[in-house]
Amino acid sequence: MRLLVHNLLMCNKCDKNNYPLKIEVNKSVIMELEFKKDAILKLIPKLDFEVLSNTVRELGFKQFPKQIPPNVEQDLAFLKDLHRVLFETHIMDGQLTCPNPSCKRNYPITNGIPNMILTEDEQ
Amino acid sequence: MSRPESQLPPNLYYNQQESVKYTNCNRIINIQTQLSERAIQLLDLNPDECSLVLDIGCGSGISGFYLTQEGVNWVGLDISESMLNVAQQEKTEGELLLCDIGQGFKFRPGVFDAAISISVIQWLCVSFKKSENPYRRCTVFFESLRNCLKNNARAVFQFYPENNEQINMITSAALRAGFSGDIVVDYPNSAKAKKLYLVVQLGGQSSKKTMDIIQGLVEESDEEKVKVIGRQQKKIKKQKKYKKINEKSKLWIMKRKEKQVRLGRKVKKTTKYTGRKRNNLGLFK
Repeated sequence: MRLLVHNLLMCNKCDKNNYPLKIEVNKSVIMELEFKKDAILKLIPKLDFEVLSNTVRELGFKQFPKQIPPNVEQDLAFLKDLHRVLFETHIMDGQLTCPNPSCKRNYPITNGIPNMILTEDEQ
Repeated sequence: MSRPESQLPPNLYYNQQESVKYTNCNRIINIQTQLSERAIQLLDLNPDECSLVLDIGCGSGISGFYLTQEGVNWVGLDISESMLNVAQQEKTEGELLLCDIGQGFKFRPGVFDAAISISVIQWLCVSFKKSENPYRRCTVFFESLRNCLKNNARAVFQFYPENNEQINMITSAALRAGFSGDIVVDYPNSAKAKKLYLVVQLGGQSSKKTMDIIQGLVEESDEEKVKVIGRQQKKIKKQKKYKKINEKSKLWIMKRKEKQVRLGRKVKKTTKYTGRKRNNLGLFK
């Protein structure tokens, strides 16, 4: 799983306050991927950048900017950081937790695949 | 061959063995590749605008491979863990999620630009547990899909319905969720190559114009094929009719008896011993 999905995903069980999911990482891997500027620029409007930035800081990358810098297209250093965060960092093992205090459902991540399947009584 | 849908639930049917078989079989890969190409063609993506596609039932990522080639990012959902593990091994460039589409899924509203699904949604029409209601699963699926697609997004589902009821179930669920669209039939005259695509669009009036343009592919030599099949079937029927009956078998004896009765002759009564084989006691030679 990469942080792109975390940026999209909501808790499957409850309806309110179910975004963003809390993330716990036991093991992560970095897989190199070709840097494509256009692909990243296209993706930026899709992101909830505040959430992404908070998650990245929580996970230990403190220098990550809180907001999108004004000249994104020229800011190659920022784009490279974003590329690393979005495309190259894979979370292989860990879990996602619903932030809603009345739900707190855990979704385990095994082999890089989050399990979002609910049990019968949760539907 | 019986349909996989009638055997086991999808998460059990596509176990490790079946997943490996599925991804190593050239015939399946060829078919899946063709279907994916055609579905992506029907999606009519605009590579400049589009950046995120949802792949429903991504399996081992064959359709995802084409999406990557088109230069879009995709998120794949599947219920079979083994299939996803295979996809993970192949290092597909997409996000994989283990998810039951009949239970629904939740993404941030309106993030996806399009959705694609190859040979999946017929699974929604069968239930393996008493608690699962196929129609409800279909509606839940289309509703959660509607929530995560942006306005004017298009979705293409290739599927194998078992009968017309299943088509109705799926289309009515899609309509109720607010989609509009139609079914595209490729190669309608051929039993084997016939493929159904449900092409739907969210929101609106602009969709109708584009829908008219879509036409199913028709193979030129289709009619010839049908003729050939007809002739072969006739031949088979003929052969069945004049199937040779073994001499002195029970069936043969009964037929002869019938004939004799029809001619008005006396025949021995038919009992349970009629036509039965005698044990050779060494008395007769």
